[in-house]
Amino acid sequence: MDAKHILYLLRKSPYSNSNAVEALDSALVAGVFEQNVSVLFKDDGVWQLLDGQRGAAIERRTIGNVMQALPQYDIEQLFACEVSLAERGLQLEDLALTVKPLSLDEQRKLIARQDAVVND
Amino acid sequence: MATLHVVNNQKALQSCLDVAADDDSVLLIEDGVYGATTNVARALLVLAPDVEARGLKERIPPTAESIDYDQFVALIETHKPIVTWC
Repeated sequence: MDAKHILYLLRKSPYSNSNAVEALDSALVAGVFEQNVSVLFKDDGVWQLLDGQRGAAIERRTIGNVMQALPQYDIEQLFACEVSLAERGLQLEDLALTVKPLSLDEQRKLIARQDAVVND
Repeated sequence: MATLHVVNNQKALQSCLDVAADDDSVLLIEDGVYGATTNVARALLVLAPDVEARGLKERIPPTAESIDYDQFVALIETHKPIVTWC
């Protein structure tokens, strides 16, 4: 069976509920099954990328640690909405993970080439 | 195939519109239908039962096309990918 193009569109802040971490776990599973996985952080989802998180302070898993596993699962197409980053005053050096900033037009093209889009 | 964007709240609508291509379909469901009550500069679809439930029938402009559940299913069959904005 051919690998599917699956985009994880992550738009939720990291600790309001467990959606974000569950979506990331699901992305790791898709990576294990050698699907063509990409991840786009958008809107409040870009807060998931911020360096220096410590979920243990509120007895939660640190989402930054989960994310650092992504490249080890062959998930290397990691993107962030450049508008969402700028709106929140986030620079690339503030982030725990190397991501490629995408313009709105680039995001439009990314979505168009997917077989499925999964949300957090 | 064009993309179907399904929007279930008004706050997510702008993020969707920012990246929706001109030939994509944008369907408002649940609380997303409130998004059709203000002018939006593109064609929108709304799920009729959600509009009716919220008393919005007279507030949705004629430019927004009302669809039923069967038509919703047909849209899913004729679009790829389906993107949910929630």
